[in-house]
Amino acid sequence: MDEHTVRHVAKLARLELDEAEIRRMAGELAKITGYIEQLRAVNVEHVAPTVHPFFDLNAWREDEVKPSFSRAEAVSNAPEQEEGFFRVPPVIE
Amino acid sequence: MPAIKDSFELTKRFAAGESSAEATLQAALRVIDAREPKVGAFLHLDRDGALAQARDLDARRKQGQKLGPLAAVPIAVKDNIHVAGHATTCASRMLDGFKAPYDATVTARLKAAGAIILGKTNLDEFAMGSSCENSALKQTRNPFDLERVPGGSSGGSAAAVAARMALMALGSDTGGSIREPASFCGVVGLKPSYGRVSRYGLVAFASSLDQIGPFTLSVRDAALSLSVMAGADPLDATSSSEPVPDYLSALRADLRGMRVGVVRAYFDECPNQDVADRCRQAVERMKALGAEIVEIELPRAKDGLAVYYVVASAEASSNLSRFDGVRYGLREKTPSAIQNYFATRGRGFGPEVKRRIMLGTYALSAGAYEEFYGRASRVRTLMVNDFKAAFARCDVIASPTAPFTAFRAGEKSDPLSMYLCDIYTIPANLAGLCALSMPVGADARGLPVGLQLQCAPYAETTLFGAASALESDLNLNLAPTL
Repeated sequence: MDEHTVRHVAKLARLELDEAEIRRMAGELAKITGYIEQLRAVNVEHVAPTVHPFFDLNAWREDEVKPSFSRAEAVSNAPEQEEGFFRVPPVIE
Repeated sequence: MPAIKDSFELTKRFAAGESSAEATLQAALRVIDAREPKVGAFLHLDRDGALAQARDLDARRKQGQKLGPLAAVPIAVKDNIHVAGHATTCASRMLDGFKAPYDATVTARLKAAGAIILGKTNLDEFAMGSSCENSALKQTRNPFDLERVPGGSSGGSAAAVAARMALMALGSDTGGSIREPASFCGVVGLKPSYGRVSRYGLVAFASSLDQIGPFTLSVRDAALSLSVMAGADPLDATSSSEPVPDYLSALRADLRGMRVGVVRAYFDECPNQDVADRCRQAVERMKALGAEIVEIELPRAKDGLAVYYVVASAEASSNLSRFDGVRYGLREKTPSAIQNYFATRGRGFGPEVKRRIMLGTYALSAGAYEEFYGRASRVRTLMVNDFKAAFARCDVIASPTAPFTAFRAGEKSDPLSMYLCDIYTIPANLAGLCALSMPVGADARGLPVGLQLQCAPYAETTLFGAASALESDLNLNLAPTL
């Protein structure tokens, strides 16, 4: 985990980091991923992954229209709103 | 008003007409006035709202209405669980100005049961941490020693109950965030089985691990509150439809016929001798109560921390992508939408949250995915299998909750050493088990020691049975002097 990787991952995560953070993060993440490498010693051949404690559990329901938020409530927490829409800076120049 | 032992006793007194909800609340508010300036458990107190709830309860009781099983119990809610109309901050700058437009299902169920919501409690930012020191808003202190941390991430809730500012509190537990602070603060902390309690209205951290649970002053209070909170919820597809038994009837006085599993290394290798000793003595008492002690092995448990930091961070990096400055919370002013994401997230998240988003994004990125997330998910299967084998031989597993008692604020500055706090608690989340921490004594400094009990998924009745028998046998009175 070097500074180059940190910059790349920060871009994937849409996370602005300053130079000091990048340096510190590289050191800390190297230490943490170094610790995680102990998993390489485990034989996981033919072992299925667990991505959820009870993966065989599934929940079905009828697709029914039910009361939900009003438009005003839905945008009530928006940093900027206009006429019931979320207002954002320009996406395309 | 005489001191009240726990919520169970309070509800009995209230039902018998021996006290009013308003008087009970006023007593709680007086404790808060005296202790909160020292402890700093709350991010937000709702005195007026609580008073209105209390008066409403008193009025309804006067009319002879039937009130719920938690009537008049003052409770605190971790500030990553929604209470309609109140801020949910997750102790982060990222949610500046956010007001929850709806109640979490647990909040709604507690209100319907008559509980009085006092306010919202401090946590490590987005529930990531083991000491509450990662809160961007406040430092909470341990009521037993104000120089020390309350544990985390649900440190505010643990401290509020330990200091008797609330009789009950809600927390969330992803890798130990209820049990570790319960251990540090000398209260009971329950992480129910995965899916037992609806998570609708909980700000998601790691969706295959998160569970909501209570902090209480007794095991019967934990049983009482779980009876109210548990059960299927159409608003949470991961909530279980498994029937909810009467947990209060699971309480026991002896442990005849119960097999208690112990992993010898958890005691022998525990870095704190007092913790190991108190927990050993507790297991001895379980034996004296009729339990059979069985030595078990959990060979892959030593990989739990590594698996957890991959899985939890990966899920967090995905869950926290919703904080983008568009729909709620903080927004940095930038000329374009893309820059907006970077700037808002860069400014809004604190160091630990950034670290986990980075670790998780890396673990899921092309080139690293199979070696990190893929491998961790497979080792997770081996850990689940370990527990299945163990629970064929025993009914409950006993161990220390944390490897040490509450540490000093600022003592653990290295992220990895902080992560080690959760070494005994993490496996239960990975396997979906139910588990609790209960006080079993104190170390030489008088700091509480917690014993962790773990049971198979949905075996909460066994868990409460074991814990209640031990609790009444120990008959501790661990209260801070503040």
